[in-house]
Amino acid sequence: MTSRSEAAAGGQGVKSENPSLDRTSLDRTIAEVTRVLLERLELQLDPAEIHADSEFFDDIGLDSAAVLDLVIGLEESFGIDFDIAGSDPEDFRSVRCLARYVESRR
Amino acid sequence: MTPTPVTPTARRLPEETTVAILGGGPAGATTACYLAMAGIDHVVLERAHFPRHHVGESLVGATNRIFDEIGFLEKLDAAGFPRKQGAVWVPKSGKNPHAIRVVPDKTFGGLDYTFHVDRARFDHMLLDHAETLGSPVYQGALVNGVETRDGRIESVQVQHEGETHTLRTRFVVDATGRNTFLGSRFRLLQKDTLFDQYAVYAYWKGVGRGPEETAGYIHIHFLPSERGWVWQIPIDDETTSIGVVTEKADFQRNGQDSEAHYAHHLARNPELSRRLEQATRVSNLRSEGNYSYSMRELVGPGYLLVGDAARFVDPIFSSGVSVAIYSAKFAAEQIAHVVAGERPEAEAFGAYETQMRAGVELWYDFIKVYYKLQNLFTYYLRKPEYRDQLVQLLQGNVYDARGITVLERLREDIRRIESTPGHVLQEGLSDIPI
Ligand SMILES: Cc1cc2nc3c(=O)[nH]c(=O)nc-3n(C[C@H](O)[C@H](O)[C@H](O)COP(=O)(O)OP(=O)(O)OC[C@H]3O[C@@H](n4cnc5c(N)ncnc54)[C@H](O)[C@@H]3O)c2cc1C
Repeated sequence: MTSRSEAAAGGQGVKSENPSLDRTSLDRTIAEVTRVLLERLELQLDPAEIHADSEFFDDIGLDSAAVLDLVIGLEESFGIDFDIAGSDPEDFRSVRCLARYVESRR
Repeated sequence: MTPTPVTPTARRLPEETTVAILGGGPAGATTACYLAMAGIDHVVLERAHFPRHHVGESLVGATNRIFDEIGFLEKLDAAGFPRKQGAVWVPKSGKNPHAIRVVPDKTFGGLDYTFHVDRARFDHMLLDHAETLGSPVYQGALVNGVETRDGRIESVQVQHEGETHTLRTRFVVDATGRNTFLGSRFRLLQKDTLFDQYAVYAYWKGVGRGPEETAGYIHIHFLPSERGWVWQIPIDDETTSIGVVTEKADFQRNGQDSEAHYAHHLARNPELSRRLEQATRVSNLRSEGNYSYSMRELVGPGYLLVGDAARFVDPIFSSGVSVAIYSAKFAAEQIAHVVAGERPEAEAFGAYETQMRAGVELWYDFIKVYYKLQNLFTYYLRKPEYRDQLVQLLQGNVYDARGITVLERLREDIRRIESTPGHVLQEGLSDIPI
């Protein structure tokens, strides 16, 4: 687990050298995460209520099955591999956190 | 021992035989086929008159190998049963079903598919096949007693055509299924403490089978309750078997009758509900419970337990018939060694027990990991580094476990999830020890 968090931290460190580029790329990832979320999951929610800081468990009401479904969607969409068993709960707090995590795995 | 003359049409029970096979389901019939091929004198005692109804309609790819060996595969292929080439898992949300092609090894009989079978017809065909190989099969022959001397079975008591017969025998193969004739009598049976599931099922017509490519697959629809799922198995062009499996406690807690329980759960997976929209039920509801147990011993002096009579865990991976016919093969092979004087009985039967346990334990481990976190399984099926081994297990190739590392990897991952405080998947973990 430590090695993964370090990798994530390192990834962010490299990207922050170019903050403006980083921002747009993160925004795009946030949009894509939101799209996959809406498309794959049957949510009892108005899509307009979902934004970057929506929390998966408290605001969106995901359970672990839905999280896995989302992860599968993101893996397919971004062509990345989540190390789901080794994941940090913090990465799954909000849409933004997850988008950051996705960026770190690319 | 002088073999009793074998006549396939024999109607009167002999007084003596080398092997008495109790039960003529897949395990008993297959044991009979192997013994007939080895020229070993035996009789099959089946209490029912076939065809008789039976649960367990979906086969796995590894069965092709056994059917090929006993010369049954061609008949089976020609019988027009729906071909099976995979499985679809439908998440409880009903969205994003995951289909996995599971194609049997063509080295065994040349087929790249297995079958879904109407068990009444299938079991009948298999038992008939044993008869054509020379097995004396007695239907309507209920075994209701054994006599032992010095701890060894000497004879079995059979009710046949209104008479009670005593059949002296050197060996007994118990293939009585979940009736567990010897296991119950010898107090070998141990109820499974982890699994106590309950199944209710019926036949339907007009069930939507989804996209053409996967219409012939078995479908597992997840339910939003722990260890709850629904099977969808094509029986013929029109008929589909739909079975609801839940924890027995779930059924009892809700205090419903089977009908209400069945209807309640069928409505809980949106994709399944869509598929049933145009469908009508065409059979009575049947239910099965108390089906998970193991046996303290699988063999004893002069006897071996095969198929469900030896062990039954859980039907999630459609392993039952496969285990039944593989155990039949292994048991018949060991009997042949003893009859030929090549091996002492204890050693030969011990070898059978080891072989059978190894395979069934692998299934059991697989089932535990699966129920520990159901959704994780479909996730890993997508990963190339896990998929091949998982598919091998799904096909029923469990008797040679060398090189199967995937279950250990899954267990490691589950342990990591368990030990990470607040892990996102923790809430989905059941309390099954793995
Ligand atoms: C809910 C459920 C779903 C299942 N789904 C599947 C599936 O999809 N695929 C699969 O492969 N398996 C499935 N199974 C398992 C499958 O049904 C069995 O594993 C399989 O039938 C075992 O074969 P057998 O020959 O050991 O026993 P059986 O098929 O039960 O045969 C035993 C025979 O012994 C006879 N008998 C019993 N007692 C006596 C006696 N005293 N004297 C004489 N004869 C006797 C019976 O009449 C019967 O014909 C399922 C099981 C359950 C409970």
